[in-house]
Amino acid sequence: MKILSSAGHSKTLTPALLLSTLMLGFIISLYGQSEFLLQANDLWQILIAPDSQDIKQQVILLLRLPRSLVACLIGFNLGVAGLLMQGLTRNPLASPTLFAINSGAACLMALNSIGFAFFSALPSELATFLGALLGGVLVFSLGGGLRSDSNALRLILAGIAVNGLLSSLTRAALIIADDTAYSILHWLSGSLSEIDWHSWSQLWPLSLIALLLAFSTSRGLNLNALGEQTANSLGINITWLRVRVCLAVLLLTSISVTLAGPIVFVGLIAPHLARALFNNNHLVLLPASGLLGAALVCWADLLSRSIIPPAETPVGIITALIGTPFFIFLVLKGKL
Amino acid sequence: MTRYTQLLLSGFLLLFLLACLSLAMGAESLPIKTVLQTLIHGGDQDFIVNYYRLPRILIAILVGMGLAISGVLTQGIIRNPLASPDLMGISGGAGLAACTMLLIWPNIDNVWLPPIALLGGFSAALVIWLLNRWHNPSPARLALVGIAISAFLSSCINFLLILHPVEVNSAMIWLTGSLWGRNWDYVWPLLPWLIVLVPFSFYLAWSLDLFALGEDTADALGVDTKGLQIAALLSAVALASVSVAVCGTIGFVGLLAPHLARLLVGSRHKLVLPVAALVGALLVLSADTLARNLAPPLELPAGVLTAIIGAPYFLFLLHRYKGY
Amino acid sequence: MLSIENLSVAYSGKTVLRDLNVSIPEGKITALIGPNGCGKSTLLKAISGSLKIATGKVRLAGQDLTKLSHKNRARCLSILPQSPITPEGLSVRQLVSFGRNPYLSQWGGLSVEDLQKVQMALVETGLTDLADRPIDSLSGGQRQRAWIAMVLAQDTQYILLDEPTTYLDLTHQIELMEMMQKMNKNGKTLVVVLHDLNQACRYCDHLIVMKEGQLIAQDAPHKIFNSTLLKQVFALNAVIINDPVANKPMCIPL
Repeated sequence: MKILSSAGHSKTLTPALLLSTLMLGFIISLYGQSEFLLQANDLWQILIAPDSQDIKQQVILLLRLPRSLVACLIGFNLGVAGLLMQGLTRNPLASPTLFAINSGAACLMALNSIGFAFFSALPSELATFLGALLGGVLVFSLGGGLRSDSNALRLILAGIAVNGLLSSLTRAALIIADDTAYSILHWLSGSLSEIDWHSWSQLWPLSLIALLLAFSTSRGLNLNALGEQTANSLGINITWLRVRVCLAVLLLTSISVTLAGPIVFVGLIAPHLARALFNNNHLVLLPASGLLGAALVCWADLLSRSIIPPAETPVGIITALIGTPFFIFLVLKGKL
Repeated sequence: MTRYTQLLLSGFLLLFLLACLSLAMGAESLPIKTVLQTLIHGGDQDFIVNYYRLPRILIAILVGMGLAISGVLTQGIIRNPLASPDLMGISGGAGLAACTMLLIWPNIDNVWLPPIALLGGFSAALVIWLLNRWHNPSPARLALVGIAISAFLSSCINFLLILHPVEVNSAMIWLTGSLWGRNWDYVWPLLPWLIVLVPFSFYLAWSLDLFALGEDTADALGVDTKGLQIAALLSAVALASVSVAVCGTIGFVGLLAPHLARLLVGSRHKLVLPVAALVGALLVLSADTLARNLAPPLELPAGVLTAIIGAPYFLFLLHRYKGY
Repeated sequence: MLSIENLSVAYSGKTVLRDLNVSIPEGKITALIGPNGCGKSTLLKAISGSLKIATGKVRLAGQDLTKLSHKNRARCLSILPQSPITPEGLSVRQLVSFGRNPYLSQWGGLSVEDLQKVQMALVETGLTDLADRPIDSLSGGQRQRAWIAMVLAQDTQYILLDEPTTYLDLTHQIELMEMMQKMNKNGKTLVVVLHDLNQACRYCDHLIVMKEGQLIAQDAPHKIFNSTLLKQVFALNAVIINDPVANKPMCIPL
């Protein structure tokens, strides 16, 4: 009985801790590290005495709030996308970054924005979607992921090579287009500095659809963990499951890249933390991984603003600096 | 004349022709005749040919050789076809050290670049070596760890460059490797290192052949395997680091050149080393020539071009490699 | 009645099953036997729809199985693969409840009836005490029982088991075979791939003997199990004697 009750205790405690970490990050990121010297009190003032003339309140409402919201939702998307990929491939290192889905999206986004050939005619969301698809398909076909004897390690190494190829192409394209633009470096590293309410209105509808799609696959992913044959025997249409998961991953990743560039390694870290904190049920893991991703990006964004104020470090560099050691740890721990 | 001599000679010829071509081509194209005249007598084009393009070509050749030989030594010692200085984080460490130094003391003399880069390269190698000792990962997993360390180091470089914004071309040197703006001031610090290290690696060639039979066999044949491993790895790290010190982390050359050389002349190190050096020089020189001429007066980083050739080759290696 | 008509299956360009006609009698335990690589597992995979069928049909009570939706098929027929993957940290009860998947709606949870079936399956396999333990902490025999419980919770008329006794010691093999007989008494039709011929004869009512993707014989053990068959299928010289305990044929290799 004791074991049961303590399990019940942690069942409420862990999500509560997780949520409060996220909320704290969200609130601090609304006022922290500003040229306008915002304070927590200003947030309180918005609630009790809204004043459309007050410059501090306007900064929070027009710049800070959308940015924090977008940071959270992008983090949520990436966390969910990573979990979906790991669930589908049963490969613990699967993630948008390592399977070149991020860099594929970034590559076509770059070609789209510099007006290269017919890519410029596409809407940017579609271009990134196609790029994400391109990256993923390249990795799977070249890494032998479609064969029955596919090897997890080979798939990852192929992902890294495709990643290198695509990001080189992106750099080449951007340099040819405009050799003076230092912002290239920012965008390529994943940055939230250009976010406003318009970005939010671009982000949430597609994210909502993709997330609903993602959650509809959770039971299928639970069964997929037992192996394809067993899942099939339990009445799961594997092909249909794959299509839905891939679609969700591509949507979640590409919409995030469209707005903020490739924010790396969130899709790798969040699912692993989620699995360490919660049980194996994807119905629980999906929101947990999403929340962890949201908290991660939110705090990383806060950190990125506080390192050298008033300049901003791209948030993707922060996540890369956290993510790569984590990646090394996973490889050495024999998680593959 | 043996086939090998023919191969070597034609390689040199190709390199020479490519160098001439590279001297002639650029934002301002010159006829070959003018180029040759200027080389000997100077003249109107003296600056472009002798002070701008010539040192750059020399550096491309030297760096290509250095990276290629470093790759041969690494693959020979680790006996892992996926190993190379840039995939193992050594180039990344050297790049980070050199870049940090330049950002902190922008006016420091170039002579200090190679030793500082060497320090960075050795630290990265030490980390890999320690991880390898503690965890003893399989070859493919070791490659993965190396790549992850490289990724970490390059995000550190990225981070530094954001902290201290520099001109985009010089940023690209440290992010992808480029020969932009490299002149005679960079040739001299590089040269003595290569003059010592290249012959030394040829001296190791015979022992490396024996080492390829396995550590125990080499021991039985009287090779000091511990000493050989240390000597070869140290020179590999040094060669890669000094190359990186001058023109950043030009990727995949250290992986590609040894493989191509072995494809051409088999596996004996005495034969492989010169051919690999030639192939490396050709690779970097052609990448740089292309980089200057694809969209003049704009310049692409040479490292971007080597990655565009190198990454597909890496995929091909993965396809053939069986020992996961 | 499960019948397989003119079934051909090809695996990466190689034909593994060729024009196979087999019928599985209802309410019995059927053993699939044959040398390694004769296509037994492939046949099970083809029946359960996880392999694409080149030509031919699999009919269940006259109905084409491939025409059924995945869920409807999973309500008629379940299969336990040879080496299913055990995710880390999954509890026995969770695993068994996965068996209820074909009966759940897209967003719905487990109903009271589902929970009852899960509990019944746990009781029947004697796993109630271990229900909250992670599967990866169980012994081989217990683990196999957990998988059987999952299949039981799926509550299908037909149950296919692919070499369920591999990796088990003799005690657990016998325990499993007896559990199969119990399931059979409760009205299930079982199809099992077995390597131990004597166990097949002793515990099963019907044998299907295959070689190189083709059917050699099918009938009750005492009718077809003889030394000519063993010679023909396994290239084995053996004598057949009567098992004094179970009164079934039994082979002793020479």
